[in-house]
Amino acid sequence: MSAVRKSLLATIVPLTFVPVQAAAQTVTITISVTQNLVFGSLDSGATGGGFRVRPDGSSAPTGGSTVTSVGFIAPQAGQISVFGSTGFPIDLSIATATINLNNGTTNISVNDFHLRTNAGGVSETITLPTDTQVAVGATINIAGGQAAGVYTGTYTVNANYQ
Amino acid sequence: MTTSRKNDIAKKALMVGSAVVTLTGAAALHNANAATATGNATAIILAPLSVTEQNALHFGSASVAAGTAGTITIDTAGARTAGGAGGVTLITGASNENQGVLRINAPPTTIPITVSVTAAATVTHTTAPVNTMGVGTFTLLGGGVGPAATITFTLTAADTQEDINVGATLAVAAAQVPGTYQGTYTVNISY
Repeated sequence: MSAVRKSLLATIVPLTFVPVQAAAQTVTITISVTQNLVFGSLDSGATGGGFRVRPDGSSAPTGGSTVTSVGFIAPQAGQISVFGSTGFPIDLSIATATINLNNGTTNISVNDFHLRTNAGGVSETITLPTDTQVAVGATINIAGGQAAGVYTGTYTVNANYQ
Repeated sequence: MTTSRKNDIAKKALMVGSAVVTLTGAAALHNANAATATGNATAIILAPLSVTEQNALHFGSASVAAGTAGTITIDTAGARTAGGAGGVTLITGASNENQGVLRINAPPTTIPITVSVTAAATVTHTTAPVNTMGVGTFTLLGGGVGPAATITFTLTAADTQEDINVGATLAVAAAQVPGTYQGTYTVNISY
């Protein structure tokens, strides 16, 4: 009988520890926005057009655009902080390709989002701990004679284990 | 008793075994684990600033001595003084001197606006013979700032218009050709 008990315990020990180790690696993904995407203070110029803020923080009018940054409020890329399980690929994606910023009466569209790098797309796969901070860039599309004002809007980023 | 303990151990083994079955699905737990964040995007669109002249800068009337030059300075309140070498005598009464007044129209913004007149200007005799006088040392007063050559002020969000008073100094040569002189000066306005 003593022999029976010993053999059972010998079985229990490894079965108990294996799942505990696996569970420790499962960490809930948390993503939070640590820096707003800011297009800055812009003069639409004669005909308006696009103005791009890249994930690396650089900015420029798109081709043919007369929009200029007047510099008082400098453009900056958005920054997202990602927390999750180390070593497991995480898919990040921009939920909606085109969003609107609004000043209370009129809209300005924002599209051409780029995640992580200037060449990044609206979906990127990252692996922690390399990419704990993910930059967001996009292009704002301003009409000629766009009404002056402060325009704000939101975009959504989804994160999921692959 | 002994039999019962044996059963207990067997039960524990079974329970642990069933726990293993659940937890080995760790990859499945990952797939069910998603997160969403909402980022803010902002832009400030500025309407072009514009400036219009409400009142021309006018130095009024004066005479100058044949052998001594002088200056006429008009301040941002429109008051004149003769200076320099002292050859200028201000003529009052018929004179319609006044400071310049520039009206700046800005969008509703709290972004600071900078106004300056940095380049010297020239006024030219409107009839023959051709003759000129120099205008410099511009002073600006507006938005609660000045007088100074460059002023930077911030409008309240509801205020989209500001009048700037302009003063300057006119250099009059000795025996300056009598007559009416006119010219323009350039105002720089920017965010």
